[in-house]
Amino acid sequence: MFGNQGVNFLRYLAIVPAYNEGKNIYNVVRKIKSCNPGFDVIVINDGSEDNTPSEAVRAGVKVLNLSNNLGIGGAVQTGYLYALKNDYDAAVQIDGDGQHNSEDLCRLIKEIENNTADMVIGSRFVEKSNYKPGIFRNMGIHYFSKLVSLICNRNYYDTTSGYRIVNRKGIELFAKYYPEDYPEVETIVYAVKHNLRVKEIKVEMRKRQGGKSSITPLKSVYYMVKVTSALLIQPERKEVLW
Amino acid sequence: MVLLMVNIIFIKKRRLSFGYSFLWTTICIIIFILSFNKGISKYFSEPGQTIHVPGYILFIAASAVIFMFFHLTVVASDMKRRITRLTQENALLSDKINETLNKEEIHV
Repeated sequence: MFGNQGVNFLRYLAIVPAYNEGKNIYNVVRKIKSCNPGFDVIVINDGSEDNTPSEAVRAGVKVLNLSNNLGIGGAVQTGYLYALKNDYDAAVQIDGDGQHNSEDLCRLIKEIENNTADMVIGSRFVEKSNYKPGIFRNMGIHYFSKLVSLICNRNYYDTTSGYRIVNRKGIELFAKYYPEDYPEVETIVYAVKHNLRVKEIKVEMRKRQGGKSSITPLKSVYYMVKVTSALLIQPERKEVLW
Repeated sequence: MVLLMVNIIFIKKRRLSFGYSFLWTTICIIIFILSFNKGISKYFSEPGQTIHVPGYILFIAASAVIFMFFHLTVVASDMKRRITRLTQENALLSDKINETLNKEEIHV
């Protein structure tokens, strides 16, 4: 179905940002490769202090080692830069903590192949799913959903999902600018404002397979303030060109 | 005066770039003039109804420090952006080098 398997010859890249995900990364990568053999997988090792890079190599994929910890935004953008420089046609971002189900990838990629969207988000809430977030997380998700829908004039339900695929247009856009921290929500508005067609597709997400979430109560306050400001004050077009 | 002297020492050691030292020197000179010339301080403080001249000088100094602090955060943000890009380029180049070396090894 994909890549060198016959029907089409588009090149796909799975970007897996990972920071201290030594316990999960092997399984995450193996799962992506077994479900989607046509995908090239690249692990962006974001300055991990554990065995993340060696585990990724053991899983048989290429690893890009960042010398400093850049955070999720810098790590994912490195993946988009890699995709841009190596002429990939589409790139999917999959978290290294095992929350994203790579079996859903086929449905996401179908939208890109059929050219019905430039960016497809794996959504937990576009239809009913088994995912049940905590009260405060749920409130945050609803708040950003309403705000993004208001700014974009279209309903978006799962704006905090990091499971997303973009075509070449999206790769070029995100290689130029990608928010450094808490990028998920902002990138939707940024993409829509740059005339990308953004669509949500229902996916199932699991709980973290190991490790700890980086968002503490104090950080969640910063998250709300930072992301709201970033949504309301979008970057100037010339400003984001490096 | 002390700030001005510290500023000069840091320039001499080249630990402070000339751009920033120019800003600090300007601030020092302005505060110096306002402190020692009562007439100028009074002239500028009266329209703002700041009768207390030392308070006016303190206000000027605080404003200058806030301005400098804002400027430095802009510089720090820019530096962070550059470091991010540099780290990314470094990772991509390392990958390219490793790829080339591996290919050469295979050929050998």
